[in-house]
Amino acid sequence: MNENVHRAVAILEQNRTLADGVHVLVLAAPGWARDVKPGQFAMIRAPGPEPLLARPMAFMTADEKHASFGMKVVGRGTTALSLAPAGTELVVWGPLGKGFAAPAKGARHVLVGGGIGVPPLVLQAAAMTKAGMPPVSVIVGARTKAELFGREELKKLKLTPKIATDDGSDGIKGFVTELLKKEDLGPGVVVQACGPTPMLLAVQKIALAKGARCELSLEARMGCGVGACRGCMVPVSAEAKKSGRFTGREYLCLCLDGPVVDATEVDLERNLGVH
Amino acid sequence: MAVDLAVDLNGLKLRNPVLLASGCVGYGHEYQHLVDYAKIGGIVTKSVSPLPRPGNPPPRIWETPAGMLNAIGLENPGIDRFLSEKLPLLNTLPCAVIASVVGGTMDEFADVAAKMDGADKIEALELNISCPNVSHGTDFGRDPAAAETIVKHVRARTKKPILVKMTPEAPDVVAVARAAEKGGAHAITLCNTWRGLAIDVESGRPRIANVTAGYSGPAVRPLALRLTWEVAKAVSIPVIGIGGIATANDALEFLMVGASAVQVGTALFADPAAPEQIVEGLGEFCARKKIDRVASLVKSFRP
Repeated sequence: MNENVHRAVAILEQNRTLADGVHVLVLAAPGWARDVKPGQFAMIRAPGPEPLLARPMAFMTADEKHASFGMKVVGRGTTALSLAPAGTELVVWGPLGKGFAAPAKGARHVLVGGGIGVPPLVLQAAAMTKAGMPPVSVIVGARTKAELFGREELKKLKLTPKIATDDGSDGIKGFVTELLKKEDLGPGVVVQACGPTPMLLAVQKIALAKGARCELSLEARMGCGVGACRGCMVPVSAEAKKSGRFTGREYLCLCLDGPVVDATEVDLERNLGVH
Repeated sequence: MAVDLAVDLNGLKLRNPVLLASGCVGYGHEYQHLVDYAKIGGIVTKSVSPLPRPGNPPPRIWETPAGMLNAIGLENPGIDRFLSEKLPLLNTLPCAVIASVVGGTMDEFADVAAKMDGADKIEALELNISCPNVSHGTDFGRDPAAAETIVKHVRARTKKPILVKMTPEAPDVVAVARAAEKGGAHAITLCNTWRGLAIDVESGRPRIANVTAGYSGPAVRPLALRLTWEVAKAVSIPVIGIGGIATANDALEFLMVGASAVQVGTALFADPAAPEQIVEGLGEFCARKKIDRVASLVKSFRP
């Protein structure tokens, strides 16, 4: 467990609606998000006794006083959070999990985010830019222009993302993977991606086929966020069972071992099969 | 007013009656930066079996109104790695540690229990004869004769106090509790989860890969409370109440019907501060009611 994890009662300072069912939550919690690494997440609990469980969300921005998260309404928890007015107190704990690798000198970094997977890559892009090693490409996608996370944040970083939308309302009409295929991938390139599992499966195939290193941030239903409930398991790939940190293990525990994993470590086809 | 929160469960002394339930607090280290163990009574570890178990395929959890379904499948590192990898941190916890023990046969239960005997920090064992998510997980918990036999069998192999975690799905829960007492149990933990089911109607497939799953959370609280009341009347050993306890008020209900202590499980997932808030609330309640010992609330229910 991360030593700097702690529970806080955060104030929902802004609940911005980007599009129907697509929100940015800005939380005020002094000191809480001080040591967040890109790709790490927090458990955020909707106000009131129901729904019971908190929801895992990756940090989009994090500083001394604030943290922000992108959220898509998919069920009871996100619905309750989408309806919470500014000023609502929210129980949160984090930062949790293992984030993206820090930028490596001499490597060329390509970031790929789809839909609700864009927010953690915004934080990664910010950290890389701050370290003087900005990504060579930032590829982001959404169903439609209004639903795209991180536009303002990337602009502030002076990064110009390559955009794909399902309806062609911004950038190319199609998927982020079509943009990824056009990149100069190969050894020395690090692809870092987050998005829906089918997208990550495609990114995994494209990046590994070209010999690039690839990190994926996955999602799963979580109960606790700290490795106690063992609810968020992801099948380990046949290759990773033989050597490395998951030797002999059938599943990894995503909240502890991830959410960012090396693309060679997970069997996403099996993960899709059981969902 | 100083309130004495300490309880004595048939020789197992706890700072206060709030324990964290097996399967919900891992082996302690998972929550070490989120739960102040010095403020709670103790923890019950995730169940330990003779050999490592990978657990069930995912998805393993699904949230339901006022509760959740889980089918973890007793994932654990096995007794040997438990002792080498998990015990060192448990040894440092400033609260009581109870180890949950599980096996496929009576000998497997007893083997794990015997190996725990050298670990002084472990103050008691809780026999998990009530897991709904593995085949034959509740065999010893459903039948009074089987329950009595397994408790006796393990009793012969360990010096530590034995708690027996019951399944609420036994045809006669009171009879199983009496049998466990006869077999030599120090206390009864009541209870494990009920088997539930949830379906994704779009695909017609189960929400949980194991199909059925244990149902826990506030939704089951009235069911667990009724069982606790009935069992506490029927046995003379202490009963530890568990089932959807999320607030001090919930814990008070269990104490009043006869539980000498409670365990908090699902509510810990919902908010890591819940157990400490329950302890605080128990103290406040006693102070307000001018009750100097929380233990005097046990069986104060007036039906």
